[in-house]
Amino acid sequence: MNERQSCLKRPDVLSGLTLMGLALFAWVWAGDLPIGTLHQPGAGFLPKHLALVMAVLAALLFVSGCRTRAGSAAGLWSDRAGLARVGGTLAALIGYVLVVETAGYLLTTTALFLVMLRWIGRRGWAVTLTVALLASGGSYLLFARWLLVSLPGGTWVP
Amino acid sequence: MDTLQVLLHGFAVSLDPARIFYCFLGVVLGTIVGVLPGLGPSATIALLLPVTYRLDTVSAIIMLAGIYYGSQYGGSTTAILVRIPGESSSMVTCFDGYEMTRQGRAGPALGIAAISSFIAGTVAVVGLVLVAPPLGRFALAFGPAEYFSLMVLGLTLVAYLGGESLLKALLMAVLGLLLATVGQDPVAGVERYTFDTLALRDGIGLVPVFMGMFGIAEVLATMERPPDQQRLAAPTGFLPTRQDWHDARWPIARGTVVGFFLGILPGGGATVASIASYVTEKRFARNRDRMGKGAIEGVAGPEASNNAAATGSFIPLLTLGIPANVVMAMMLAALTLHGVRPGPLLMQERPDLFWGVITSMYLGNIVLLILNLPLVGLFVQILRIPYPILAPLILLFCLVGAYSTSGQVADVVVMVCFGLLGYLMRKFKFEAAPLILALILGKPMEESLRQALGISQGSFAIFATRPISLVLLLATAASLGAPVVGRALWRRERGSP
Repeated sequence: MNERQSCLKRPDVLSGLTLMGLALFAWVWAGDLPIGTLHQPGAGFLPKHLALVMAVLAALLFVSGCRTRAGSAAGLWSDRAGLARVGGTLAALIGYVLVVETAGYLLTTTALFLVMLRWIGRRGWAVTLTVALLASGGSYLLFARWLLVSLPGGTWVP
Repeated sequence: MDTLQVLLHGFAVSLDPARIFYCFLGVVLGTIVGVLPGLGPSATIALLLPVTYRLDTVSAIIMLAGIYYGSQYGGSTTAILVRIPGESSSMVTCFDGYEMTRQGRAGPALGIAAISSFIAGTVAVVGLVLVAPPLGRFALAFGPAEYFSLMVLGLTLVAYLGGESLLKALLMAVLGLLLATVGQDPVAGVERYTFDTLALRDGIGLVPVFMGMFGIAEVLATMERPPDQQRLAAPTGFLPTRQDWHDARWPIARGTVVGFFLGILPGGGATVASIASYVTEKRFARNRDRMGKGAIEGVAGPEASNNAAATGSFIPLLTLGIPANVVMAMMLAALTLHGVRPGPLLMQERPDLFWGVITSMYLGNIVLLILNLPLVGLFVQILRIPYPILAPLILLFCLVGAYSTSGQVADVVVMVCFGLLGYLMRKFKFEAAPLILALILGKPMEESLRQALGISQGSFAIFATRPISLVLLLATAASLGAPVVGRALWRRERGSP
């Protein structure tokens, strides 16, 4: 039982299982697409065959992962504080995506810098505010004004 | 007129002060859009098309051409410094370029990128002058069957991009091909894996994928390290050493040849050329064991290749009127807007335009070298910024880059998802390059396959009966078979007493 548990925690075994799941998902989601024939392939021909090949390759990875004596996948993240910084950065990015269209580029970008510099990067308030304002304002001028890139203005802007 | 005469005529056209100015403006703009992620040359040319209507035709095309090949110079800067490819063709420059930066050798990496770009760009212009018409006709012989065989050959490069595990490389390639099927089916228009969202109807954008898998994933991986280990090594020396020159000369030569010929083929382009060059160096470079660990060959070859390809792609446009890629399609639009119909008669009807644009590229390449080399010292100063401050700046560039491709937040979502995927792939030791190569080749490959089968009424014999296609398939078999045979011979030798 213990050996099976440790086998399932190995990196290649976990990757194999995840990719097998992904292949199954791709196969199921391509369910209604016409497969056609070998000589006249339909829209579902490539997705379904690729899902099949992926499932086979993922199964091979799973088996080879079970056979090799590698450490646990949990060992890939040894530093808890490092993991917290990664999680914080991802959370900041997700938050950015969620609010940028509503709050607009300038406000959201300033907030992203505040979070990244003050709470994740542990910088002082003076550096945080200076960099946040300069970066958001400067990038807005560069992209939106000079290079005419359309950036989200925010729904609160008339 | 013989070649020398037409060249002199071309120089007389391009050395006009106003045209020198537009050439300068074009390459400077190109360098800027190359450095800025997301803002590619096609978008810039599209933006500037109405402006060029006021210029004379030769000046307009000289400026637009400068934007394209200038962007190939600029694209490597962010790839080397912060692992964000400014252009898709700089993707492979990230591998060794960024490793060189981590070792404190950002200066030599940027220097060799600029110099190899200059050499390749200049040599490719000579090639353009000498062999443009016959090579243009060769490109015309490429139909769907030949493209499909070429793409299959391209996919075999996966075997060399995969790092330690071939199985993992193949898995990533299949995943890339599967991701390439997202969006409308290229023949029947049926939607696949769009989950009823408008944003995925055109498929997964390459720019958000690059930004995510390289830029975001790199930031996440660096942020994980303790703060005292986040800082990149202080840059030492701004120019390549004598040893760097020695190591880079053959990769530059090989990259130029590979890039020039792949640039001519429609669908090939600078991205595929740079990947092909990287793989060539992985097989032939003197220090091939160091590839991916900061070898200068991994910067010199691909950078030479993408510039040669950018120049080579002008051949089918100018001699046949066929755009080899999206940027060339924009150039075709610009020519049409100015009442010029490119094709076999362009050389006779508008020699001023044909040779003027070509000779302006010599000038543009010199300007780019003069412009880029002194900037190396300035660019490497970016690495002195503490990483906690640099990280949000990199994220900002990625966010704007992804958003600017379509003006939709959906592309930013795609980028963040691929950032997380790229980070996890690093952790679980999967290489990103096979996935990206397959994602690039997937759609045109399926399109060519189905078109070829349509032409042959479902017969696969079309791939074997057309000579170019057959040669490409044989090359594919040789490419796949060589490592297997080599390994078998090595085992036999090892086993023998």
